[in-house]
Amino acid sequence: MSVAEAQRLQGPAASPASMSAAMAAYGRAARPELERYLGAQPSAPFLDDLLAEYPSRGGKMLRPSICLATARAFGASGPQAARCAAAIEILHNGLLIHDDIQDASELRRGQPTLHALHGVPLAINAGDALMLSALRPLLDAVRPLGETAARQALDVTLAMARETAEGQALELGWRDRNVTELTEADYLRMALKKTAWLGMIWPAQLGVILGTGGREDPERVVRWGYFLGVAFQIEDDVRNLGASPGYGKELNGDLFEAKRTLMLIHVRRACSPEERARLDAFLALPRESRAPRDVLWLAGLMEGRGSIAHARAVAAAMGGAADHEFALAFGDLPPSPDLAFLRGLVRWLFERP
Amino acid sequence: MTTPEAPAGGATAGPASKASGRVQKPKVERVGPQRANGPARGSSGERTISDAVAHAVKEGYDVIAQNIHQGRLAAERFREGNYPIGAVPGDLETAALRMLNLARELSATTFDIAERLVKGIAATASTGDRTAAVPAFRQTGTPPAATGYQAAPATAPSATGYRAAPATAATASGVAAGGPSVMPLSTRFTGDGAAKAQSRTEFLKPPRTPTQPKDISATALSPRSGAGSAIAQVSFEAADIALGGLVAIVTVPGGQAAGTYTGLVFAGDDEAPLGALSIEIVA
Repeated sequence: MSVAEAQRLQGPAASPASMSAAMAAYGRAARPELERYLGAQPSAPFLDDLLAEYPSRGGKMLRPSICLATARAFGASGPQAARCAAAIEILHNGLLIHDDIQDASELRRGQPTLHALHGVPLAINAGDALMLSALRPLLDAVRPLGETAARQALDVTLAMARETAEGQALELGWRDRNVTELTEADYLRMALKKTAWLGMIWPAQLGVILGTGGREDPERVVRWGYFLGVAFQIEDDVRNLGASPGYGKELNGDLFEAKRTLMLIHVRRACSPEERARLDAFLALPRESRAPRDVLWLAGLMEGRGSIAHARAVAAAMGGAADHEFALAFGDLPPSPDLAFLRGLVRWLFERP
Repeated sequence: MTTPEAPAGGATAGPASKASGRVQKPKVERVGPQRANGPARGSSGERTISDAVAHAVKEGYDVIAQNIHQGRLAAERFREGNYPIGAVPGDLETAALRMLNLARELSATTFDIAERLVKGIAATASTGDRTAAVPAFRQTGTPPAATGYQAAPATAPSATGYRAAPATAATASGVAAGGPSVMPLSTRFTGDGAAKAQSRTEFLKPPRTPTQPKDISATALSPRSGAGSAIAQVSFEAADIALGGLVAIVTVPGGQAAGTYTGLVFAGDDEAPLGALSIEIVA
């Protein structure tokens, strides 16, 4: 079957407006499980309030939605998928706590970060607890499906843990060791590991496992999740430089952090030797020494050298590749609202509020 | 859930073609051949966006292809069960141990994982490589692991009701403690006589092929002296990795005569026993 034929048989993608409504519905399905598992333990001082902090601030619930939609598209019914989706969101929130510490971020979802509120040691502890707490709903979700499915779930979870740690290490290592000689492929590799694996590939893989009871190879969704995740990451990076850097995020925060984005890699190659010397001097500074005027200069340089336009074009291309891979990953499934939601993710990630 | 909309995009006929009822090809933007062997250049010498995008997509596929290839290689090595644990990067090793601790929740899966891990770690132990970093499944006589993977001593029953044999007890199976191929055994006692029972076996041979706990059986545990009736209710359940490779559940009736009771343990249809399970009923 050709990709075009598969796309025709899968039916249309959901509109961006209905995507938001669908995501809210998936969130409503996952949230009770999330709250049930987080509230299962008797309240412990200096811990349980912290565990509930980030989940209570909302969030898009994108990752749980991908899991739920994939599971249902593959035929899942019952509470397992919602349980699994809750596990994904709990783990994601645990990682966010650690991310915020590593990036010295001040805001998360429009409010002070957990370590800003409670200090780094307690925040690290809460992040650890959240990540390990995620395994309980995950195991509860896959246990009834039998040995094969349970093993697959453990396999993809271990793989995700490894890939995500590698991706985070790459990004932090590049920044902290001031690595400047990076290529576009380096960036793609980092985005695959840091963003796509946890955010898209793993939720979709768990969805495949839940929906098929382990009868389908979860690797079938890897390429789709990868291109979707890379497109998502580039778009996020571009938005950070715009008027709307994202809910609760600092304008030009990525430039202050000298985050190795596609734009930074591009502009360093496209600029003049004099500009590159100034850029390298800027990158070599510690974060607190980077002046706002230099950040504005760098943002202007990226605009002037076409780096932002380049990143937008690459993001769109990655979205196109994701659409192509979608047909290959899901081509044999009958049309359904869940499938329409998954297909609509590419368009949504560019048009989301 | 979602409201499907009409498909977007695709070639459509223009107004003229609608009027004539004929489908016409759109006018082509280029009539000459595209002879771009390398990337097209703009006036400033920069690659044009379209070529840059094509390049990015190609690199995107290269990156994911490399990643999948590496993942497959790693998966094959793990699946074959011969991945030397000492060669695993440290953080993955930590993650695997954490996962193992949590995998005790998975009744059906755990036994198989435990078996594979025992093999892998035993292989590492035999090479003397990174043993200190892998405290699980240590052989008898080594200091207790700080991580709590060591079985609890028999004199201190754990809250879960599991008991392991004293570390000094020889294994009735004849498998030398400290040998390269042993499977830790924990014993749980149930029944009215459970309080007086103690395990005297801490290791068995591992099955020669992956075996579900339900396919492991034991002959009735009989007293050597002949006094007292045999204990027939012995079953096995999913391994508890925190305590050992396999858990035997022995139902001890109330009033069971004091003495040592022994039975043979078998895996599936294998004629060769994994060893002998011995328990002691104290007066």
